[in-house]
Amino acid sequence: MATATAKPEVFTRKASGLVRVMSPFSAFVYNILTMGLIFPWTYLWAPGALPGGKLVWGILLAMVLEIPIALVYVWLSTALPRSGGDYVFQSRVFGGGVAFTVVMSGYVIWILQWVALSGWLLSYLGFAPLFLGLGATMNSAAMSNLGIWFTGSTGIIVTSILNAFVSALILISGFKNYVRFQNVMIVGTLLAFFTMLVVLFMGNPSTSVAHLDAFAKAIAGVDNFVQTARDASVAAGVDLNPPFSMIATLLVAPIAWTSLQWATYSAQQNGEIKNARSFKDQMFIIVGSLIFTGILLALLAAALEKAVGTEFLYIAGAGYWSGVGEATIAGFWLWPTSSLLRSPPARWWSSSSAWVTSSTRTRSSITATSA
Amino acid sequence: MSFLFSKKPKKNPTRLFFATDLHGSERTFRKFINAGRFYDVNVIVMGGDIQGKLMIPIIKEPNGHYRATVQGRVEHLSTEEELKGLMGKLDILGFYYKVMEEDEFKSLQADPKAVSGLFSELARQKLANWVSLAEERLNGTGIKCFVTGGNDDEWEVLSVMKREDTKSFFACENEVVHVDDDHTMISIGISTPTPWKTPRETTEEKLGAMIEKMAALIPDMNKAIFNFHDPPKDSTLDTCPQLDWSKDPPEQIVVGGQVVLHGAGSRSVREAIEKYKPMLGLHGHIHESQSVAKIGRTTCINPGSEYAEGVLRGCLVTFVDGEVQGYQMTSG
Repeated sequence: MATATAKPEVFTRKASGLVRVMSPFSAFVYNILTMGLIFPWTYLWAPGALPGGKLVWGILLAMVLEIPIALVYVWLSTALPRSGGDYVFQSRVFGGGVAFTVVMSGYVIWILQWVALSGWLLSYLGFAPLFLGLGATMNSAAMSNLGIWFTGSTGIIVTSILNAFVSALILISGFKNYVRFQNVMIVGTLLAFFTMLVVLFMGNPSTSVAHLDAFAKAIAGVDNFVQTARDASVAAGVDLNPPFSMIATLLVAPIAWTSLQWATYSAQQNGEIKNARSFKDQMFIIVGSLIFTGILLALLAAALEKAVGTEFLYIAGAGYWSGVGEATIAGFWLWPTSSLLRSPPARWWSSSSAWVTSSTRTRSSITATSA
Repeated sequence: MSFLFSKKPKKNPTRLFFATDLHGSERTFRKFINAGRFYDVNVIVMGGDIQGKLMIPIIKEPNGHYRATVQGRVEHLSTEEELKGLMGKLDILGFYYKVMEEDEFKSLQADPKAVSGLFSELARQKLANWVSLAEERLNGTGIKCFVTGGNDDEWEVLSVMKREDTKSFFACENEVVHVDDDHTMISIGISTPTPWKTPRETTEEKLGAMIEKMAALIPDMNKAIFNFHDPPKDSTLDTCPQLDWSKDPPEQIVVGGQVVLHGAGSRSVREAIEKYKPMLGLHGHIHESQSVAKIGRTTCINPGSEYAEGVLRGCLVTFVDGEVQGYQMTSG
């Protein structure tokens, strides 16, 4: 039985009853945006922290490990298709006291950190590379300085507050408006993501080195940046060509899992999802979004390694993990994709993607606490 | 001396199962009928809103396949088995359906009167089947089944329930019925105005007058049951989101990110309960407001409704000699 969206061919009569506002497709999108497609720790932190680990395999392993958990949520959602998700599931099994404690600590308190963290994401990984890139492309010191301001604590705090404020305004206007807004966000995210994929797959390590060197020269006046960073990393004891490590590959999975675990997040909104009792729809929403996002994350990791080479990922990680100052640009931890994108429109997309991803997580955290 | 120790013969309490707002859901209705034996009760009562709200045309395409739009998605069916599966799903959801050619669908689209006629026809058909099913299942059990309409049900459709030949199933709206030897029940399915402008609504004043007229027929108010679809105002049985009536369909009013809740019940119903103090009030109408409240001596119950999920929400009530001995909400 195939399904598709189209103009409804139904007849209704005048009768009382409210309408659920979220279609299964919207819930699928909600999960993708909540998982996020560009989370930095998988790409930037994992190679530096886990030498010899294979990013792509680690991400795919995380996806596979999450499938049984996702299936549990599918069955629970089918059996109890009500608002509240985890609270409803746990209170029915363990009682209200346990459910309140677990959900309060697991969702309300834990997720509130995302209000702050998404501000950091937006500022550090969204606005900073955008304005640094514009500064380099347009030869504008003002733009570059603005980019650097977004990497500092003042820029991050101001951005976080404004981000939380805008997110709150959207949510305050009602969940229906959030559902409308996320349609814009998914289009922006996918356009940004696929632009990034194309640019990365078309690149290779030698051209990337030239772009990075030019970028570092324009922003921080550093000559021969990549070679300098490489030498400093080696001097700091960073192994740039570690042998394959199964343990490190397995340990990449939990890092990628911090994103992919959110495939079950739509369960909190079951009360607003049309036909939430349908097993097929819940499979599409939860397992479908997990596999879709897992594959895109793995593709991005593959594209990134192709564009900059595995060695450079260790150099980029050295700036963060080993405190190698030469492996940063004006103190900015490297986020290779941003500086590899050559045209300003591509940088805009990159930035909008970061904004979309980070602000979505903020909104998700707020909807969770208000659910 | 034996008179000092003789016990007054104890009456057996009556057990009643109440459910409401099925909105055409086949699975929920079957559960309701079976609830009589399952919960070992004497009487089952349905509180109204039994008619479905949506009709799905299952359109036969020239290649022999079918398509139907269900909850915003078009489903394409290529086998009879898939068609049967879809019909089962629509029964659970309480949607009416009809297999039709593309031409018939297009002519229906252009003719709202024909759509309305088809709605009534399908609803009458389903309700007639339900009456027969209830008679068949309850035959010989001694269980009485009382059903009233609600504000969503059309008079024309409800008329199907009025049959002379039934032994277990009784349409009880606007009637005084005996639920056992002692207790009587009056039923009113009409509600006060809703934002949806449903088929059976009236003003508070007129509803109050209807209640007065029915209440006058009750022999003993201490042993009376008010089976009114509309719950009493501000009783916790009627708490629901406040709606913006100017929108079609009506939308929830949100202030500061929070849905504004209010009591949407009937003032006339509340006043009647306060005035006559019946033993029991059975109510529905507000699906999300499952609750029990005491208004004076009267125990008022709204079991809520989850018909779209195929879940039968109900309430078991035990009473004797004009006293409610206990109640238990059920869900299954």
